Amino acid sequence: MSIDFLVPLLATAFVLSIPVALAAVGECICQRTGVLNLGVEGMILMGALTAFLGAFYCESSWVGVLTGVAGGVALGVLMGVLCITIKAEQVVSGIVIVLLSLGLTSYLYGSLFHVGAMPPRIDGLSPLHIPLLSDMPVIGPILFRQTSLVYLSLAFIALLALMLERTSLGLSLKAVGEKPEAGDAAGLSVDGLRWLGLLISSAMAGLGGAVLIVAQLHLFADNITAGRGWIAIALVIFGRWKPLLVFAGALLFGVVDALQLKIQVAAGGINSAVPFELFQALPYFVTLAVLVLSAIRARRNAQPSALGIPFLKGQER
Amino acid sequence: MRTKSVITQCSMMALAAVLATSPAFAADKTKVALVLPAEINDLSWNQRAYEAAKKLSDEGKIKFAYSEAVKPDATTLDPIVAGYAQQGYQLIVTHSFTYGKTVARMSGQFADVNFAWPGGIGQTADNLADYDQPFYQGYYLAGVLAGGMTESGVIGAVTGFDIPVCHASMVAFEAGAKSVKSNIKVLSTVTGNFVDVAKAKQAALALADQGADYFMSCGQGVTLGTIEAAKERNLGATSYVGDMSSLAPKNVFASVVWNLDVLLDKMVADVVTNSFRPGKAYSFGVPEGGISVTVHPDFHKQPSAETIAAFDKALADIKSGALKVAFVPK
Repeated sequence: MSIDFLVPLLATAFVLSIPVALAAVGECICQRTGVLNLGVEGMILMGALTAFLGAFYCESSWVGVLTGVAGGVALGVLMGVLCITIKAEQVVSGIVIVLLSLGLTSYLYGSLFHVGAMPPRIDGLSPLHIPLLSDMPVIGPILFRQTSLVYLSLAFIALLALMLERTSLGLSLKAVGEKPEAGDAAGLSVDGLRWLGLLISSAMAGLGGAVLIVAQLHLFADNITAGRGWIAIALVIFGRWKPLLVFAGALLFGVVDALQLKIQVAAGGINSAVPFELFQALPYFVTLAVLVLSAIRARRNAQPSALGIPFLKGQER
Repeated sequence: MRTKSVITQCSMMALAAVLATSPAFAADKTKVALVLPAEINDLSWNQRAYEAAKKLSDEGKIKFAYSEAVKPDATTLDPIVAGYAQQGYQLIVTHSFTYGKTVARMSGQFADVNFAWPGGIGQTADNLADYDQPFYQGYYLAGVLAGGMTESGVIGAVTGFDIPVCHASMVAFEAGAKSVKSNIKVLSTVTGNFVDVAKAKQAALALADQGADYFMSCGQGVTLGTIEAAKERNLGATSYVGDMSSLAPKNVFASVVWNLDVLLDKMVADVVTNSFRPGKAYSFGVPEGGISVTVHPDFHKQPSAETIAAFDKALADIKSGALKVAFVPK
């Protein structure tokens, strides 16, 4: 495999994986507090729409980033009211959020930009050129020719990982996901910490949607997230609820997905003897294989014990 | 699922009651219902159908209602189609290949209503017409332009799925390009998804990395992604079914446009003159005016005089029947 083949491949992979990585790391924090946020697909999609609208109407990509995060958080608040405040079933709440978002984003976009009008497009952010770093061979084109938003995203991921693994707040968040009764007895606000986890998750999902639109696509279309939220949820399990492993998983998935696009072309595209569906299944095969291997090697179950179970104070479960 | 209707449900039922009792009243404006698989603002497949009906309605020829984003499962689709049939719509256009089973069932159940679906496989019944989508004829012409303008000699094709419509379009694009430069190489990728814009963009960039400078694409989201990639690298792309050139005026060199109004006008005329039955297999390609190719003057490169001449000749030959573009579905 030559460098000429590898560099564009890894650059593609890196770009493809950022929105998923953001959503997955946020989802990881949220699940560690015991809340299974299945609504993440809907939150990325809503973030994508609101980021587009913010950037379009205010003619500023950074306003778009803020409105994107706000769009994700808005659905996060709804999800929180449903599954933390009124203790509704988390799986159902999450699916409701996804269905609501699919319909609502399509409706809002459709009613704001009428049929027959010029399809709107935003300018978006351009890649930064960092002196020295961007010009480095191999690493430069892969890592250092991205938009500033991508670097900001990476910083958020690092900060969240640090917060969860190295601070007392992180410890509290994890405690309410493992033994909420014990946390409650120790004076922690179980629902408050779960709200925090869910808000982080929804903000990161909204940011993921904003990155997709502002840094990559510059336009909106119905269902533009195309299932990235579901992959994010799978990556949390894949990364065994550890933020940095989840991030690594997102990168691996991105690499294999970019690789299959390249292999398809190299194999002769549509005229190839190998059916293209096989190439498309490649990322899932690899993820599945790593999942199986890591499950065999792991000594204990990493899933938070109280995941998916609403906390009812003073009630034995 | 969300359905919208230009007339409210209530007034439609009232109207249907009136029409049922006085069939003569229905004769002046044909009542047409559209059932669409996605939203009417998709710049593509569904928007073109909606605009066609809107145009005929503005011309006073039809009165129409539509349902958008209708899933093809029987529990969703059947009641919608049956509803229109019971409300006295004379022509129901079920605008998706995936609606085939339902429309076959419904056309049997409502013998006095006319149906049309875009099978493209000639599956008709007495009250059921089939209409094809010969986009490939347009892509041949776009291919002539791409072949004339490419500098690398490599052209790229990004398709959502390797289905007949996409495959035939891709092969025709290649044939068109090779009619100008015989040594052109075609690279192709299938993304496995019609809506994933980001993936299509990355697929197109991957093709660009391997030298492709002109693209065709098949699928609405796929095309949005390909156009974005062309814009990023300052290359050339085509739009799909509708005109998407406003997204990147300097990077969309041609739009293959589906003029559904011509087709719908003919079907409505057939309904009015009672010649719709037995159901025909309508084929409206470039010669019939069903497909046209818009060449965009704002594209960053001007085609040479020879390229324009080759394009004009191919267009004239297809129209006159001297050139038959091969349909290669697989």
